[in-house]
Amino acid sequence: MIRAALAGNPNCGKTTLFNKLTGSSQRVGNWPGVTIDRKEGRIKGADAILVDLPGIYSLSPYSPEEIVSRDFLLDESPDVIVNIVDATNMERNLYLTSQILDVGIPTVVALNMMDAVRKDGGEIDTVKLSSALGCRVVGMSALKGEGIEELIAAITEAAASGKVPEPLRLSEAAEASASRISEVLRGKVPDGQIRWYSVKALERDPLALERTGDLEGEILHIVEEMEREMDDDSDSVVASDRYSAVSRAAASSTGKRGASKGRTTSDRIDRIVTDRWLGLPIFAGVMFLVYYISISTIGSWGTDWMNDVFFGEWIIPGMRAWLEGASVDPVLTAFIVDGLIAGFGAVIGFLPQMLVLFVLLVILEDCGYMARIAFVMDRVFRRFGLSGKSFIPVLIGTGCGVPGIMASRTIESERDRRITAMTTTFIPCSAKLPVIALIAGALFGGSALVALASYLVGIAAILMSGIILKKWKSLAGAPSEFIMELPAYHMPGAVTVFRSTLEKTWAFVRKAGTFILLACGLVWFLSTFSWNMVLVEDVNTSMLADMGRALSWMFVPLGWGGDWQFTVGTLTGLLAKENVVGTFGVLFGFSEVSEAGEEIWTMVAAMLTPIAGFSFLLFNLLCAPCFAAIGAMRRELGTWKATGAAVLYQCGLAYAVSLIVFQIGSLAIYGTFGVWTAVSLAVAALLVYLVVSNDPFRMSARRSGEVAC
Amino acid sequence: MLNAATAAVATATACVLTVSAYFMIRSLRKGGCSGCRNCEGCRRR
Repeated sequence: MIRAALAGNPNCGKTTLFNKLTGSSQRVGNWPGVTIDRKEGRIKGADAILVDLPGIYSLSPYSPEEIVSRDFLLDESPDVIVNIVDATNMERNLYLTSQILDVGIPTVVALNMMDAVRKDGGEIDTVKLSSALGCRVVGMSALKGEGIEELIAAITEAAASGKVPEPLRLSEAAEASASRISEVLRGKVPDGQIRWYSVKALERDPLALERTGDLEGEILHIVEEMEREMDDDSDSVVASDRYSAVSRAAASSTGKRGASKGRTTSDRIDRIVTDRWLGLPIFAGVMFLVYYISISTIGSWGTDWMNDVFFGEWIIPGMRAWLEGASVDPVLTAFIVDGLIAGFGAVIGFLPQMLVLFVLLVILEDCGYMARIAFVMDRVFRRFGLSGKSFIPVLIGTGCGVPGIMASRTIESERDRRITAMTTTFIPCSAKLPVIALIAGALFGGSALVALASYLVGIAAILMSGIILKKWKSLAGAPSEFIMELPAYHMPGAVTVFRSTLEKTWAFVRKAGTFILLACGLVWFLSTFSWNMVLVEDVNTSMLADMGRALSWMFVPLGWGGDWQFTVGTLTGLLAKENVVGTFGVLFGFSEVSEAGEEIWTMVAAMLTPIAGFSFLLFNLLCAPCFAAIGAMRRELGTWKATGAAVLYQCGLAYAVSLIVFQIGSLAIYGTFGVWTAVSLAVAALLVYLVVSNDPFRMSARRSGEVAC
Repeated sequence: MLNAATAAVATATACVLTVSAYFMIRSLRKGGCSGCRNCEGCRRR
């Protein structure tokens, strides 16, 4: 069985190629950092296993992804390396190729995105490039499935021949020094990897030097000699030599016309959407449009139908009539209809809105726009002590907080990583969308502005936390560097959009059928029986009401503590955020749907003022995430103590923001002023102080010249 | 005394809830996997 490794730059279509070669359906994201761990799959039609490695720019040990990839290539020595190269950015991608060719393993270069090169009027001669690189080059398009068969044949052939490519030649001085280091290392490292270790040692690569043991002094002596001769750092000399070599290889294959002609359509679009001033308003406008379509118009028509007709007229009355007709026990009938179906239906009713939203978000991601958002947000995040690298987990977190928190692993700076893991869940995940849609529908006429405001508040909370937390000694430090290659815009693929939407939708339905269904059954039980297990006439005398009331006093200053149902909704939301809506479905009843099909909405509207509803929404968006996300935070933060502190911070911030919004909002709208209004003003002043006060660690870092802003 | 219909519906409901609990526990054991295919958990060999 052949064992092949798939290596390439971030966002060059690696996972798309992996899926094409293996027939798998691994998550593809049009931004870097999607492949966090390596994945394996069997290549279709060949006796070969393909290992998908994280996207990397080089084999230097500077980031976790680079270390994972180089350790695999060196320690597990695959039979073939499939190096995927983005043909639209060939020179930059070939820098990694130049390092892969040193590893001493048969290599095939998959020249991806050839369709984009042709579309831009460019051309690349793969035969000439193959001759310049000394290994087989296959032109292809992973997205369109072009060249896949040829690539599989090339992989099999390369593995069978076992022919190791010739490394690209460096300058005379560097080659001479590398050759001297090779002599020193002979017998100390595997023969096939001697070139790799020699060049890496020449670059003063710490991990490579570490493996040379007591020979380090002798090697460094050779390195210093070369540095004196070249009057430059050895790693700069090698990097410059590599770029010269890949430039020659690229030039030999692209001829006079080059890989593309001048400014491309993508460049022209980017001049507008990543503009310093226009970038953010365009982002806000795009997101407003997305929510207008999904929450306020097309999606909401579907949701109305689900609530009014599907559940309101067919499922609930039909099931009730059938169970009653079969003389099933009334308590069991109520459990099924008012507990399980009402709770499950309250959440599933939002499926049409979610479906439209998923389609739009997948299109934005696949066409390349979401990657621009990370670039635009880098400028904003950097001002607040974080980098655009922290925005990638946030983008992933819009789908689900668990992978969002996990994606923080790719951030090199431990302090940034911890802050990102603590704050990623402030952005509303898909589970919070039904809560947003419920409050928007019940209290704000279905306005898309509520959803937009929720996202902006989430981003603001992350930024504010960046500033505040960086003032803590244990989390202080300059933001990580963020390098990101923007993919060329392309038309979203129908299959990708369909598959991604289906996966997200299925995850939503599966969660509703497990966590939500069971929780709603429990909520029904607790709200139907008293402590001595007697059926209650009035839900206010149930066990659940007592539990809710035991805690609801805490939320009175936030405007929604008067009714215990909202406290219960918040608590059940810790299991899964959709449970907030599912719980209301059970408590407010779905079975006697009003003419407009908005029973829950009507009840919520009757119990809350719009400002109290918004305060409830904000608290649920910002407070502790679901248990699964708390578990993911624990894995990234390392200890329960740190996780507890993070959850406490999240709940504290959620309380402060909701208090300020409700109290100051009530003062502005209704003119009410009380003790809690004064408290909220003090809390607002404290938050402003924490944000604007001097950062002692930043100042001291500046004085010592550690921060280069 | 339970009638036959009640017993049958109760059994069916218990089965549905058991299957639901099984998948919930399986998901929790995977660390709260939402099936996003973004991590090692969904890796397919």
